[in-house]
Amino acid sequence: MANVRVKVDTRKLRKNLSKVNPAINKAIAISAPQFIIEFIKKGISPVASVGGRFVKYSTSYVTAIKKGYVKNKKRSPVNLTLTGEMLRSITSKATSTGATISFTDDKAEYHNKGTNNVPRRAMLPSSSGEKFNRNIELRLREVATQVINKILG
Amino acid sequence: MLLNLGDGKSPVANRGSFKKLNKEYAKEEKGGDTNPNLDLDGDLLNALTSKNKKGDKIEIGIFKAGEQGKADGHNNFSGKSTLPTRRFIPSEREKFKKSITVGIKQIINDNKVIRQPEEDTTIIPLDENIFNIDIDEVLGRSFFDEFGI
Repeated sequence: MANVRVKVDTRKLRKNLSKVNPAINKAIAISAPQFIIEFIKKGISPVASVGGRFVKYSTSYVTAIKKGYVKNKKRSPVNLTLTGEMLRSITSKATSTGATISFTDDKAEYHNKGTNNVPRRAMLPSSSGEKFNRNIELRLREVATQVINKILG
Repeated sequence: MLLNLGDGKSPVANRGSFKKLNKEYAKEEKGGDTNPNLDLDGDLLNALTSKNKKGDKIEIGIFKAGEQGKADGHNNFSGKSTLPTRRFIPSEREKFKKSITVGIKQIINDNKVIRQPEEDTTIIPLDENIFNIDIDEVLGRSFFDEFGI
């Protein structure tokens, strides 16, 4: 018989661990849209492979802005904001495996994929292999870490 | 760097926020926005890029000839600029602010290739199709009973 013995009860730990995933997913669903919008408003794509700043507005659009034909619009940064309706349409939902984030405004698809007349200004990773830029990924990792520390700490 | 600049803050350590734009200029050129984000037509910041150099070095800066004058106008490395200094590239005696240097270190760490010493033995997986391990099965029920789980 052992002289020194300890009993480790991990029931509480296991119970808390089961709370971690849903809590992370919820926190990501809340935080990710804020990070995405922050980048877009500064004219920077949240998508990694697209890289850095959004493509400039067309010369004709910039001329129209300069002449005052487009009210309350600056020619730079390219922040995809005119009325703000599109960016406000961002929605997110926690799922069992993470979170889904989408823009419900129709204009979002034109920007995100690009058209014959509109260059692609990616707001969300959409093609396979695309992901959020490094800064957003690090911030999401930080959010997850905070959730873990809060629950298990 | 771009995130800092978007807020009108210098990416250079101890340089703080840039001086706000003159109100008249802001009204004329930027719809009244006095945020000094170095972003009028976007050409200058679009030209902010990096170059791989020999060894473990990279250069970050404005390499496009047409934008270098503008860049010096803001950074004033030449000492000839009459504009308020809004330094967005560190001089040789300066460095990036901490959040940027921490980010650089993280990128380096994430991309470090750690060379493993040659092993004397090789581990061959028993069954490559195993993708899920049930801890109860591996350790046996009696293990958990021992710990009261």
